Amino acid sequence: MDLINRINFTRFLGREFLTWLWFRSDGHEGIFDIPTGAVEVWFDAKLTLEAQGDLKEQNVVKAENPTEADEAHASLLAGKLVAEARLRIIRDQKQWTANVKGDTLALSGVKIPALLSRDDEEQLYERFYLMEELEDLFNDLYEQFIGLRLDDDAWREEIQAIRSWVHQLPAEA
Amino acid sequence: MDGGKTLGALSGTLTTTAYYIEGELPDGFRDSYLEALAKFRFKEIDLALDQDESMGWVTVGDPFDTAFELNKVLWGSYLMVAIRHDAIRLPANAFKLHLAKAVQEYLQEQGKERISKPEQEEIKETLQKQLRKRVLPAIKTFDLVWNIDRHQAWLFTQNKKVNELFVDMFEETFGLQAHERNPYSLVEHMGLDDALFDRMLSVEPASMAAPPR
Repeated sequence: MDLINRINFTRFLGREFLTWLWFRSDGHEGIFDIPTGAVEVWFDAKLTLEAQGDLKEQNVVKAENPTEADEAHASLLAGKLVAEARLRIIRDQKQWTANVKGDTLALSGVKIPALLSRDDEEQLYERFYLMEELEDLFNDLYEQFIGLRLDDDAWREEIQAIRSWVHQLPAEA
Repeated sequence: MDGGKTLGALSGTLTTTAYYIEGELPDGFRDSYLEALAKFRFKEIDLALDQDESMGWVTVGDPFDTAFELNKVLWGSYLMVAIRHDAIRLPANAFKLHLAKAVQEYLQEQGKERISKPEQEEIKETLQKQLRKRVLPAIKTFDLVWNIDRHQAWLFTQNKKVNELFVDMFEETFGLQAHERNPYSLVEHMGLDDALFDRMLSVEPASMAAPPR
């Protein structure tokens, strides 16, 4: 398989990852244990769910807590996955918010925590460090998901738990 | 390339496309990269060459500055430059009106009633050349922040076309490859063993909404 095919073939993992983040965040009060310590992940403001395959039918839920909306639950139940989300990530009293697209896992509209440095040059470095810290946190979360996803036994258990969760969420008739 | 506000490296919210930079830096890269940036610096659109766009490197924060010096480009382990892209776009409706007028004048001059396709094309091209001289190019800049020690870089846009052009421009300038970060390349950089990595390439999408057993 050449590189382009590999990239396209594994693109669905991004959407599965974002959907898994929702599942785990919902069941563990937002808290994830990653190698560098605990981190909180919450879904904010806007959540886009999209059908798999060629139809690309979308539901966009705009709400303070979009993952609590019945419409979002109904979309999950209909087989849609998270195509884009606005995440709030909290670590050691620092908070970032960022839009993440499932297909690319690229970050946009990132709001970093307030800068502590005063000097212009120091502020610039701090800005970049905070962006890198967010990327590292995000990569650790993705690595945790990939670890589960590629371990057949662990994933068999996880996917059952996800399915139970999807079917227990309150959804519109 | 799409419109809208260009978000930069220096302030505001951050919108990036992230890259892994593959390959080793050459010895004395500080000097050789300054030369390479100068070589591929932004140059104004050359109307004499029928150009309607141009793209090249400028310093971050000043789209008119192409005098690359270490203290403008290197900040600790960060190399910061910007891509400047200029484009002359004739307003479509106005151009259509001018073209209709030019065609009419041509027919009168020639005493013809109809115009052939090649004739119309020629008039169109001549008119484009004339009118391009009267249009101010649109200027867009996109910041690049490359953490050399981390082997990673951000281009501050998610515009697909700009990113495609960037990958080529980056390799041409620095002799290194920039690989976009995505669900695949992230796993590639996790250092998984071969068996697990192969497993990823055979894994099928899961049905998360299937009835639980």
